[in-house]
Amino acid sequence: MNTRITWLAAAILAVVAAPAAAQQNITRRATVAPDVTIEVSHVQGPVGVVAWDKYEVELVAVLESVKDELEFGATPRKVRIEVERPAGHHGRNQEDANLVLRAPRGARLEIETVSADIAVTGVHGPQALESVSGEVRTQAFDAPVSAAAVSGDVTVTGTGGKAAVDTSNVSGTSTVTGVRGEFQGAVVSGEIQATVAAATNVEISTVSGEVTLNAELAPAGEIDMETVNGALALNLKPPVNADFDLESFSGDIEVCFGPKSRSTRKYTPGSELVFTQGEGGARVQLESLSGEIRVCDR
Amino acid sequence: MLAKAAQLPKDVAPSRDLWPGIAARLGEAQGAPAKPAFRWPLALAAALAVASVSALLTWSLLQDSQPAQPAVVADVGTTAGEFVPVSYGPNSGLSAEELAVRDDLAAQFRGAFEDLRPETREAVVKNLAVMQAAADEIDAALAKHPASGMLKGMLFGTYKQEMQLYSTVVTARDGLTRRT
Repeated sequence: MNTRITWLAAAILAVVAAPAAAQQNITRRATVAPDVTIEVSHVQGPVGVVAWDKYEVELVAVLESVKDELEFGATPRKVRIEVERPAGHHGRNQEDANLVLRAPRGARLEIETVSADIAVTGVHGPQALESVSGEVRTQAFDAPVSAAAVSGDVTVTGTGGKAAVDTSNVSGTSTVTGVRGEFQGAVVSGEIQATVAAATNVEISTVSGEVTLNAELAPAGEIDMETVNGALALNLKPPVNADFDLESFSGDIEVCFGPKSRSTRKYTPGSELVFTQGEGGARVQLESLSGEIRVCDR
Repeated sequence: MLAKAAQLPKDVAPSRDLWPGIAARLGEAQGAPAKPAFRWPLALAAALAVASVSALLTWSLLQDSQPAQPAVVADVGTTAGEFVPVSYGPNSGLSAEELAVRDDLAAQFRGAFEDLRPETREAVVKNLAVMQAAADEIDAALAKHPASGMLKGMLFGTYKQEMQLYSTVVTARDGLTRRT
């Protein structure tokens, strides 16, 4: 009887183990500089980066396809990670390659993916993150952060540092919070929801998407927002001391704290509203072709 | 026929007594050592071989069939539609050089487009249509107000958005397709 069970177990194991054998589990480590540059090129599957207090890079990769190849090249100044997939397999293979990286806090990240989510936690160095159809999620400290996606969402959570944040999105939603100083956002049909403290330079453009910006203006800060036929909503933290130039070719302009302006001009078919609020100093310029413009002090 | 069948004798005696031979064979069988009714090791080995070959075949077929799955490829046309670059009107003010750069990037993008996920292709097509509608709207406004800096800026902004879209996809793909 025992022999029979052993044979049976062996048979079951053989069948079950066949797919598992196709998976590649790989771990790589390298000792690096505190501000090492880490480049990642990846097709499909999530990429996670978590900062730690070591001057080492550790990669744990699970490649579900035996046809994928992992390249890991490391010097103290630069680590290059690439999951290569045979030509013609992009976007059609359902097998993920999951990458989990641990990196020094000061690392500089350059990550490009196709169908892969990117999630970064605790990295203080500059970040350039780009995914075509994946989601991009990261934190911003003092170094610049650039995050782009085509159809995925982009989320940048600031920590009150002075990081210049730049997001670009086509149809997803960009959500930016806790940022201080500089922010640039671009979207085609998606949405931008941003909160910027002590805004020194904010530039937002959209084709048909909606934008909601909550901002506190720095004394000489500048805010430029532009849309073709989307909607722009700007909520400014009082007291507001700024020169406003709001122009819409055929859309509506609404200023909820009233155009206490030195000049108000209206043209047909659109309108232009130029005025100074408070002592002025900061500059706010919003433009639309047919979209609505709304400015409030909240 | 039935009447003839009824006339047949009910019993027919055999030409010789068969019982002694049958009894002898029965006794011989009872005295022989018992043979296993079913050979488990052989059966298990056979099952293992069949299962392993089956699993390997399935796995192999799944691996090889991925690049040529007609259903997925068919999705390109049925769910995502065609990729059509934005056409800028006569009032756009875009230079021939700017349009040539766009065309070059769009040509590279076309190759990458086929490899995108169906939902991403769909998003791309939809957003290019959004940009096309915006470009048409701006062009119509420029026809009435050709000197408007705001309108020119918006049109160039739409052009930049289109370039950004192509660039994001092309750069992501170029770094990844190196093996042939």
